[in-house]
Amino acid sequence: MNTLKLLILGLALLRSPLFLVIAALALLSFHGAGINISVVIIEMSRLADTPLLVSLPLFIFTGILLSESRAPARMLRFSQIFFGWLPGGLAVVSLLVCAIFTAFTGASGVTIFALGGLLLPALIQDGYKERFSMGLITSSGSLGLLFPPSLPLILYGVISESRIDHLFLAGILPGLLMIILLAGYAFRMSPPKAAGKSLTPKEMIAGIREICWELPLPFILIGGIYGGYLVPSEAAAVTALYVLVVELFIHRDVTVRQLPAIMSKSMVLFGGILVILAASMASTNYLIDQQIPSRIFSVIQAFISNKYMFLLLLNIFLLLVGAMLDIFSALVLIVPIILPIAQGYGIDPVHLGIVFLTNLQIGYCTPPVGLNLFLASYRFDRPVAELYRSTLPFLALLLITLGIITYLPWLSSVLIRYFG
Amino acid sequence: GSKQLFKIASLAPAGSVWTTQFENFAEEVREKTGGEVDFRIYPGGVMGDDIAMFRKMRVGQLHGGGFTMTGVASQVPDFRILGIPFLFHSYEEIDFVKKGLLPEFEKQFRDKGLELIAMTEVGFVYAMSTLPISDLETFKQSKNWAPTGDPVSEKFLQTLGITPIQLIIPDVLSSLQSGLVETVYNSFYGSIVLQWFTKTKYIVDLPYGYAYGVFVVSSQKFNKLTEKQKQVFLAAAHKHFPVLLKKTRQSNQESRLILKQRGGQFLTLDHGTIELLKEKRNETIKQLVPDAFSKSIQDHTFKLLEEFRKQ
Amino acid sequence: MLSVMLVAVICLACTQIVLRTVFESGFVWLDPLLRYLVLWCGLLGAVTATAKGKHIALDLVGSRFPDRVAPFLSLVTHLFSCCASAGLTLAGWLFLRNEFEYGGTGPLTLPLWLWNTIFPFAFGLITVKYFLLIILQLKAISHLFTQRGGDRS
Ligand code: NA
Ligand code: NA
Repeated sequence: MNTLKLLILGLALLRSPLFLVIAALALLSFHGAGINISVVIIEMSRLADTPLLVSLPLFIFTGILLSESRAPARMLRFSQIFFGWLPGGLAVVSLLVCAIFTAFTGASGVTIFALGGLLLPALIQDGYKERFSMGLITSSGSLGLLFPPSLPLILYGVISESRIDHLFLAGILPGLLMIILLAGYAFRMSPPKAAGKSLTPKEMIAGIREICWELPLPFILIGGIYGGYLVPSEAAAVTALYVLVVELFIHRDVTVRQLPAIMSKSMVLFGGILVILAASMASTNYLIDQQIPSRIFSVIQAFISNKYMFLLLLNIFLLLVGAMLDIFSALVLIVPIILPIAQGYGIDPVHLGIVFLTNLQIGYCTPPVGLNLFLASYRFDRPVAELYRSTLPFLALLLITLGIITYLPWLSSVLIRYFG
Repeated sequence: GSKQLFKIASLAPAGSVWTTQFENFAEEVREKTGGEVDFRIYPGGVMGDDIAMFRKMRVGQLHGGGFTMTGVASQVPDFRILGIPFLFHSYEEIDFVKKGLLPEFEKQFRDKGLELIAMTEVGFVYAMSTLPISDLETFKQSKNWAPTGDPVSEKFLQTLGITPIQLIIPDVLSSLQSGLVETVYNSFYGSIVLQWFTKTKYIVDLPYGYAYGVFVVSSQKFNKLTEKQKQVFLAAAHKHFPVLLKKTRQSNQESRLILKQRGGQFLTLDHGTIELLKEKRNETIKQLVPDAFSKSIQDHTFKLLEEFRKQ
Repeated sequence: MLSVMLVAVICLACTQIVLRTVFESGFVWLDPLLRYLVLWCGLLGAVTATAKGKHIALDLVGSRFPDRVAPFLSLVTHLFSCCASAGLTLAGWLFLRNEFEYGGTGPLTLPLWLWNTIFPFAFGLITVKYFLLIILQLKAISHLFTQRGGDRS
């Protein structure tokens, strides 16, 4: 049985579809444990109960439609008008946009799909190196996890029974630190500006007028959800409809005859993601069934001698977990196990939550298994190995922030002291 | 006999009274059977919701679970009966009626291949809102939540002229945050555990309904135990689950005080409103028989209740 | 087909909003219907992705092999993919049989098993697709051999 599993892993390296590799491992594992293999489908059918499921294809469609239109060029013009004076302006804008988008969509990989196709051409046009641009977008795909109203943050509060308003406050500074460090790097890597080339007022007005239809998009999303008018899936539908009308009838970048092809392209992309999600639900369930995460943790626990040692090992453990489990399962499974132990070492539950989520966020982009890497590879049609290389510098920066966030609890507690 | 491992799942979070008390029960069975009967517990809904748990019991991945009333009612519809709004006034009433209905429930579960080991509870649930809902009009104007898949509360709200917004429990908090729903239903303890109280300041101080659940194991697995093991199993259940009920009620009582300390406002309804709500409730029941539950279980329940109230 | 379903998803979701905000009502069955529709869209999309060879795959060593081996590597991965998706189809069939016996009702008062037929159906189509790819690959390889044989003589 184990040789068979190794064989399948070998096949994975030979360009076999990832979802079939994961599914085959799950099927074999369940069969080997004497459990009926239909459990694999039972797990997959649970996807129909996820409310976030509906927003996924809609955001993908919106993203593809926007990227097939001339919206990236308009956005670029706009950011040149307002941030043209700032070196690294467009990269900083991209970071912020991704962070906000992720905070709302909960790091389900939607960010890369909805914004990647828009931002990558814009960044490259602006003179950034392709490798840098891809790395930036891939690592930004889970950047907003620490900002309200991110779902994982809320989930942590529910599971750990800590106050959610405190968690919201605690996440702000660590999240900003991450953005600032990345922005600093973007600043260093920004292309040299063509000197003396400034825009006339007429060009500026034209640029603003151009973007005025796309500019309200983030406000529709944020206003709709925060204002209590829409649930996220409805916000996704409204955005899709809005973008459809704008690109089809106002800008006329896309014709009705092109539309079926764009739609079917987005559904193929969505299908590719859905089956991976489905397969990983099944394999995660096997890990849960065999209680593997808690077994790993009990091994690690044997080596702990003090609080700092504990935090270090926790970080390593969580990075590994981030590679194996999706964020929801990781929260549900791991938090109840480590919370009492962490409290035994005098670690505040709110601080633990921020450390926890930062780790899982980074786990999205660490090789060999990182959801963001796969999604970006799929979206940009590049080999995964190339994305490993391009995210490396960003990963290093994120790990530095992780160190700061872990060993400087002040960062996550200071706002609570003043505003809590 | 050979070693028997019971894999048990539940939606109750790890570390809550429900799971810790279940672990006490499991430990006793384990000890008294010399490790021959063992348990593996999957808390916090990691095995999925009630429907997924039933599917997994059918194929033998799981052997039992702590189910909510809404989940289990898809298998045994009559089990819904205690969830009728404004039915009970006190826990004494509930205990009396429950005791009377238990043999009937046990039989209906066994027909579905399930052994009813114990009934569990969340307790009395109360309407909690971000708005001061002191009469029917303000209540109707607020955006009401109904749990997904509960025909009783859905029908009742519809009879009142309210279309509830159906959300699964994990989505309620963020929807309270954004204002998508304003009035929700939970026990005092549940409202604290799920953090809903941070948003719902106003609580209508009248038990809206009773939320409960059940611990079942598959008959097929249970019957693999020897007679002696079965006795140990049931004796341990008899010992530990009443303690769970007591602890749950205690937590609810303590939570009520905590809610008061945290600035919760307890509102009272006037007599006329309460009577009107009960009238609408009776109208709802007529619509629910026999699709949601049978006439015979309804009669049986009301007879028991009447009997208790005469005492 | 996929486009029609996507348009339906967008329209239904928007109808839901209008009903809720303007008429303060709404259909409780609309939400689960939407989710099953999305599930169908996605799985059919996955079938199309198979046909177009557009599945997410790791490619760490595949490109380092010499060209001569490539057709055989493709054959091996197609064989594996065919077996794995056949396994999923079987699992889907077993699941459906259980649903048929015990399952409840889903959206539009249609039985739940009917909504879940998509699993064995989609995985079945994927299996067939890989089976066809194996045959094509075998033909290509045999063609390669006869060609080489022809070169030598
Ligand atoms: Na990873
Ligand atoms: Na992951």
